[in-house]
Amino acid sequence: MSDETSLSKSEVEAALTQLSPADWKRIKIRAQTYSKALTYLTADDLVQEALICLLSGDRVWPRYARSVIVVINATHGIASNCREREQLGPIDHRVDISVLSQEYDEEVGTLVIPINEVTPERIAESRGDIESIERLVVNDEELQDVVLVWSLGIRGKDAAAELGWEMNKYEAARKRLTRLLESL
Amino acid sequence: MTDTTKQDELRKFLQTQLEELLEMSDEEILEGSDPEVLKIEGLAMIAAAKATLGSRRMAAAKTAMAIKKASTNPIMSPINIDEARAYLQAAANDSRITIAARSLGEMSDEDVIRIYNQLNKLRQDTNGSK
Repeated sequence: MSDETSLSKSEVEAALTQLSPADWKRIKIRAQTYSKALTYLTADDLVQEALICLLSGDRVWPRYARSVIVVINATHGIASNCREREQLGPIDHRVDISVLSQEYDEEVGTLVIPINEVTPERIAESRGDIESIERLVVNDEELQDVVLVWSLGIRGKDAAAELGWEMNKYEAARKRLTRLLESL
Repeated sequence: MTDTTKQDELRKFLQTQLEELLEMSDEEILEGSDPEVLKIEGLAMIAAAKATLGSRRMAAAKTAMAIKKASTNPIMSPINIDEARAYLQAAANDSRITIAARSLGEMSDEDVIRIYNQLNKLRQDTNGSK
């Protein structure tokens, strides 16, 4: 159902189909960042779940919102919910269980063995704080500076001024950081 | 630095990154990427999301149907063995059904209940198909 404030399901699908290549890349970069900093889910899984939420109507698409922002916000919502479940839920996502024996024994139950597919490094990476991002730029001082000013909420010309850089130096570093996050 | 401060820094980082990404021109964003490939990948993700959504709807509908079916099935009350024997005795006099009435007295309670259930089911099915 559509109304004055939100898109119908068919309008949502049309809006998604019309996303530009640049917007798809923006979504991809954001999903990679969320995947790295917030959850064990992959970037593709996050985007997929966000699209499902939007197409099903579970998540409202505000009629006059910019499409790329709606999808990015939905992806953020999925990542945040996953993070909450990972932290508070009864399942330990760090451990996978493999059945060792197919036979069920009444006394001991089914034999299982834990497999740690998620490494300690991955656990530390996705713990939901700025260190998750800082760890990615540990070998690049300029990128560390960009992460620092962004984590203070400073960007653009203000960020360049704060760092004492020319704008073109800041833009080159911003581009490098964006590519790094995209390539994760 | 406390965890809350670090989490707050990540929140600010994410907000600033979003503003920068939205402000960067499409040309700058697309540098090093093939726009066609990005578009095709995007459309493939939409198609995959629609397929998953369809499968989930189907699974949900099947579950709902199973629950409905279970809730509308009559709950079998415990059967009184004397009533079951009387029921079978009456059925033995029904020309449409062949039951050796003379052997009813020799049947174990277990057999009586089994045949009672079978006969009941047969009658329900016959009534349902009319």
